[in-house]
Amino acid sequence: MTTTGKYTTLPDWLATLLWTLVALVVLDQALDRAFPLPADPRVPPSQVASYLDGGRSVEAKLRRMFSTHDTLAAPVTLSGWVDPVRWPADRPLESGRRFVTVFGPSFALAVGDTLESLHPHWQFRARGGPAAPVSHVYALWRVDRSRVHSDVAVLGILASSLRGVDAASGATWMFESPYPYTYPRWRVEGDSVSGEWPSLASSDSMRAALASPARWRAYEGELARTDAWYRPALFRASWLDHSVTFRLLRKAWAQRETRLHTARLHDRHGFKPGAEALRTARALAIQFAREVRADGGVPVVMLIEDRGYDDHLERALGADLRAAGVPCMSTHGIAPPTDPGTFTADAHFRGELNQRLAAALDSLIREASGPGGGNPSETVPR
Amino acid sequence: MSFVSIVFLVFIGIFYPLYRLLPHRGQNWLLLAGSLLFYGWWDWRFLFLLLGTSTLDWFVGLKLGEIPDEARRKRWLVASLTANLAVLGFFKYFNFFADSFAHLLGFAGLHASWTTLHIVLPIGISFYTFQSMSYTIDVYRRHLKPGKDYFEFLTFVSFFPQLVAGPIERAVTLLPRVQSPRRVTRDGFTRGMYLILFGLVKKVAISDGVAGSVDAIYNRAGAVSGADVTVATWLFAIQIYGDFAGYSDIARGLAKILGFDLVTNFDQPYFAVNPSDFWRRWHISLSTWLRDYLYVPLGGNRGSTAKTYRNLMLTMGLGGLWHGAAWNYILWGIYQGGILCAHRLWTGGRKAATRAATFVNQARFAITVLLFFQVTCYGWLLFRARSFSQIADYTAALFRAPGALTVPLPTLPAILGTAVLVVLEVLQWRAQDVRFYRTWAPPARGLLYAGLLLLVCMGLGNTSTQFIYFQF
Repeated sequence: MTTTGKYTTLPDWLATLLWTLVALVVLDQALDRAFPLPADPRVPPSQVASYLDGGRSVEAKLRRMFSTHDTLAAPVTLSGWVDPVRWPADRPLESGRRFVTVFGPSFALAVGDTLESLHPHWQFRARGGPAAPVSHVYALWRVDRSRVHSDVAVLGILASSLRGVDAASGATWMFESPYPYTYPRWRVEGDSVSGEWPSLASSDSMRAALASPARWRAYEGELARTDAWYRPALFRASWLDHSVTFRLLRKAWAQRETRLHTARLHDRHGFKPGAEALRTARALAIQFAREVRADGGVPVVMLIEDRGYDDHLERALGADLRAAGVPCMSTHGIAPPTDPGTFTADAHFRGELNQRLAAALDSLIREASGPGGGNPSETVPR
Repeated sequence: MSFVSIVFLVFIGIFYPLYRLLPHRGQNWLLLAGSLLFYGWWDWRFLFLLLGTSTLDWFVGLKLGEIPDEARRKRWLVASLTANLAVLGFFKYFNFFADSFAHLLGFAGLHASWTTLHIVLPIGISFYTFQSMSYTIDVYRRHLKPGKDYFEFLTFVSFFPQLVAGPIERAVTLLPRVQSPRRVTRDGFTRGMYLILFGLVKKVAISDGVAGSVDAIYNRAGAVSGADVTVATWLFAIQIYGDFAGYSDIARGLAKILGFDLVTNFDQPYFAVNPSDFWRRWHISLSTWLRDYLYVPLGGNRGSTAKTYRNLMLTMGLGGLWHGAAWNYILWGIYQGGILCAHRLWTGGRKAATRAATFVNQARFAITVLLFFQVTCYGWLLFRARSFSQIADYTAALFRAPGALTVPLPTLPAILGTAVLVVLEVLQWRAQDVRFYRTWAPPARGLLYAGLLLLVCMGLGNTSTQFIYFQF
């Protein structure tokens, strides 16, 4: 390398390099201090703070959201746990009504809620979690079936959450805004599915693990064994969490991981038939229907095509499920995801579409119930 | 492989130290191997096309150097141009013309029932075909002696920094750099690294960050308001500039740290005050290529006024078609030709006189720049639209009341990056020096570089999109 011009002498060059590093550190720490997260995890951060914090490690995010006590923790720490110990109590079944329990993400729960308001002979129960993948809600069904008989059980499968089927927690596959709830990683074995249940299944056990380095290491080991999304560099807290620059780089890395993982599951034309998550989802839905029927209930599977998908789930699962005798409906005909008018600002279906989906669900339940159509007056009370 | 990828980072991390250690011939072999690996990473089958057309052009170049007879030389040139254009036409335009012809027959009540071929468009084919064609034309015109060394010629055509999206280099300038030993100066290295950094800001922070907002409007199925069309088109102007100028900057920066100088492809195009000015600033390597190899041979402005306008329309129409096999690109080209003709008619072909830098003149200049930016943006509407009906609907929306603005906000790095870009462009404009920052004290330069680095880190979190010009 030779030198030309007074601005590229070696001392000038080295001084500029040094000043670049100094300025980078100063800017990094200035941004970190100028846009801090609120001390209280229940208070939503500003958009800029949220953006700059997106790459913080999952462990650091969990520690912050759990705080020191339930009353100080972010509300999301209480959602979606498979351990029923702190599930909210159900309303007792009212006379002349029947339980329809929806196991699914918020999209499915909104339809179930609307169903009750449109058709009062249904009494709606909700079991789910934010962005819950089918492996999670199937686990909720397994716990719930031993506690309450559902006359109708609806399993909601969300297209964008299918990625989470080969995870074991909402904290790993949703890196930027993790949900701490855990669930089994199900594996298809012949005609059935089996899974290892998580050792941390409640908000209390997660809090205890966060306070105990040994238990936390054990939990990480469990994730490394069961969760295809687990990456130590993304999950584990470190001093890099204090640097805005490293957080931004980690966020970019996490997004790359998500893109690669998603590309294995689907492209823009649809889901890939051989993908493990798809095979597991299909097996879970069929096993769910078998178990609901064994309990004397009516199973329904709702395929929810959200933003970014078209009729992908319907094409990937619809025909197979119907061929296996599973009553199944897809949302894409009523709520086309390719039409931006389908969605509210928070990316859920608009109210009037939920009403039409609830009407379609009611029809499907009647059809699946056979003669009598699920009308309470014509069925034998249990 | 794309410049914005982990695999390229690994590639350049291995390639560059080796390159710096090797002597000239070794550098050329490494460049060739690296360039073929770079290109073949997308699809190794594309390599055969690149090697095939390059071999033909090298051979034709030799023939043109050997044969004294002008008629025979012309035949060799025509053979080479025909082969290049046939390859380009087949891979890029076959389906387009087949579909268009079928539609035309449909209008006449006839139905063609051929099957559209599933032709994969080799990445960057328009760029390297034009570069290779310029070599044979220049040898034919005796502006250049034919390259005797096949591998040096192949290194010139496949030079990876600018292979897939330009700048379109002339053999007259690039081939001698391949043939002779190169020096990487500290000054060149510093400038190269700055160009790479600034190019990354334009691509990953700005272009990728506004892409979602543009797509939200241009991919919308339902009706849109005039305000949405206006803002989304302004954002597309930023997106395409960030994307293409970003790529060009990275390409020029990479070339610079390898000891090459590539032509400047963008010179503050949105400071243009009229269409002629714009085309002296936007995609300069293409506009000069079209000027030298199409417009001037057609007669340029040497004939009657009508012929000059015809030549302008033909050149710009074909320039539009060069961008892609779709009618909206042709329409964009015709629009550019139309405004060039209108400007020529208005000014009579005279250049505007330089005015003193008084406040009034500066204000007049700023207003002209802003007004002409709107004219440019209407061209971008034609360019970005997906169909004629969308062009009609969006044009009609511009003439209605603005209505509600529903364009989603671009990402934070895009907003910050655009603000930084505007400030740096204004500083460059005022200094009339692309390296205006060079005179700053080291702490100020350090702050600039650190700020740009931080913007790139922020931008890496944007949804990554392929460089728009790869498809051309």
